[in-house]
Amino acid sequence: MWRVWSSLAWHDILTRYRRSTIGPFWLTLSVAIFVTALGGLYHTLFRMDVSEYMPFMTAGLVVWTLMSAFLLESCVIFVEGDPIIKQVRLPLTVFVFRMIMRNLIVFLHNLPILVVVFLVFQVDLTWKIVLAPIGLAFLCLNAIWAGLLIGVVSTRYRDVVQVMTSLLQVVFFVTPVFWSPTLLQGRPLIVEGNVLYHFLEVVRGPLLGQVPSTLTYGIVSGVTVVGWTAGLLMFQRFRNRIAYWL
Amino acid sequence: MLNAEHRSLRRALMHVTSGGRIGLDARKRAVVRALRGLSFEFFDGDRVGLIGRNGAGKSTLLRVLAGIYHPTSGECVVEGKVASLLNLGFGLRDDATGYENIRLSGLLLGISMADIEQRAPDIAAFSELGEHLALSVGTYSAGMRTRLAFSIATAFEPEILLIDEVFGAGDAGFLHKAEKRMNDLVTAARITVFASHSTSLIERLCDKALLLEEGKSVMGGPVTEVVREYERRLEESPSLTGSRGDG
Repeated sequence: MWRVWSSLAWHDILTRYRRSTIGPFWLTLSVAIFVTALGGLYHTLFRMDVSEYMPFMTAGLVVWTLMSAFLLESCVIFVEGDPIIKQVRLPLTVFVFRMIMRNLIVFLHNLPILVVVFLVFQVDLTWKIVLAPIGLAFLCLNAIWAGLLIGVVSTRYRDVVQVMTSLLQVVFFVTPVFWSPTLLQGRPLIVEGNVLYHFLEVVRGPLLGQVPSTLTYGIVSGVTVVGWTAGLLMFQRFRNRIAYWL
Repeated sequence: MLNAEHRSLRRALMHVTSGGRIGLDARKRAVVRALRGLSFEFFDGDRVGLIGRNGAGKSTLLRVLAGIYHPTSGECVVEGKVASLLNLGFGLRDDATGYENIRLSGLLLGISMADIEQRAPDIAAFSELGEHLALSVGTYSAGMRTRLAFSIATAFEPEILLIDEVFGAGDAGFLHKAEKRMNDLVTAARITVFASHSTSLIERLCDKALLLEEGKSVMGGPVTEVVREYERRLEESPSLTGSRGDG
């Protein structure tokens, strides 16, 4: 089965860039421009040293792009799979894995920016960076149940995708993606209580040489367990209806 | 179903036009019972035709057989590898070339990459699409898409082949090839189920038939008899409204 979703994912990427010039690197370019423009300005606003701010912001942005893509694209995984679902009997999880793989490929296209920024600002790489792929694994693991859950709800109620878009726009500003939580006194609820912050930290922290706190790992693990239960229950209950909803 | 203009459906309509198939459930949502009380068994070597008017439930039945729609009551047991040619694009990707679609569709059918690569030239040859295969399927005509889809679906020796009214009038040459291939499949002790309006096609390609009307199976048996009954019913009441009030 893995061949099915991986081919579909590859094909999605291929066709997105079939008639373009630099292909998938348009994404890389846009993130790079964002990083350069905002990085140059915001480090003064946040009174952080540019050599500290740029890597922080870039790492945050690259991981956030992946996370928000997981959440947003989950809304349409079955809708976009409509032609296939109506033609061939396939396990519906194929569409979740396709979405995840597609976005991982995009993530890999954005990593070079991180590498460049790290080189330019001479970021020290410590052994702790090993924890980053583990954080990424956590992210992907959760993307599976979230994909199933959001996908099911969103196929039944087609405006979920709009809600998600608006929500993510707000959450982007509220989550410490391009601003550092050290700017705030203590450990405020708006940061520590934000589940997405912890998912972000689990990958970003190690990249910047910090081991994520026990609280972060705790929350991420907890969400994984609860999420999988909820996601599986939801999926089991409604999987047979999805073809009818399309 | 969902997204229908169920606000404008009234109970009165329910009985007159649809014989009790469309109605409002307890929560005032539109519900359509596309198939009811069907019970049958098909065996190796059967070439089954499904005939009936528009909306009788042929496509829905094929989709249930293909495992796409899960029956809301009762059960459907299908033993064997299924390949289907149902409408709406056949699962082909418009943004991919003919060759890429052969590969993708093969994977969707559960075939290994090695087998796909091995059969690809045969598929290409059978479809007679030649150089068009290097172009994206979005540029194909409906007939070309049918050829490609049929060639792929029948290339990997499916044990059960489900086809939904895909042979439009006019592609007589390909129809002849398709007919031969379907017959070959059946002689290898396989089942084909073919839905169509065209009684002549049904008689050519099938030996048994099921007549569906408003979701129910009204007759099943040798194809000529079933076709005769279908034609008799068509003559009796050419349109669906009015005369048939069996709820």
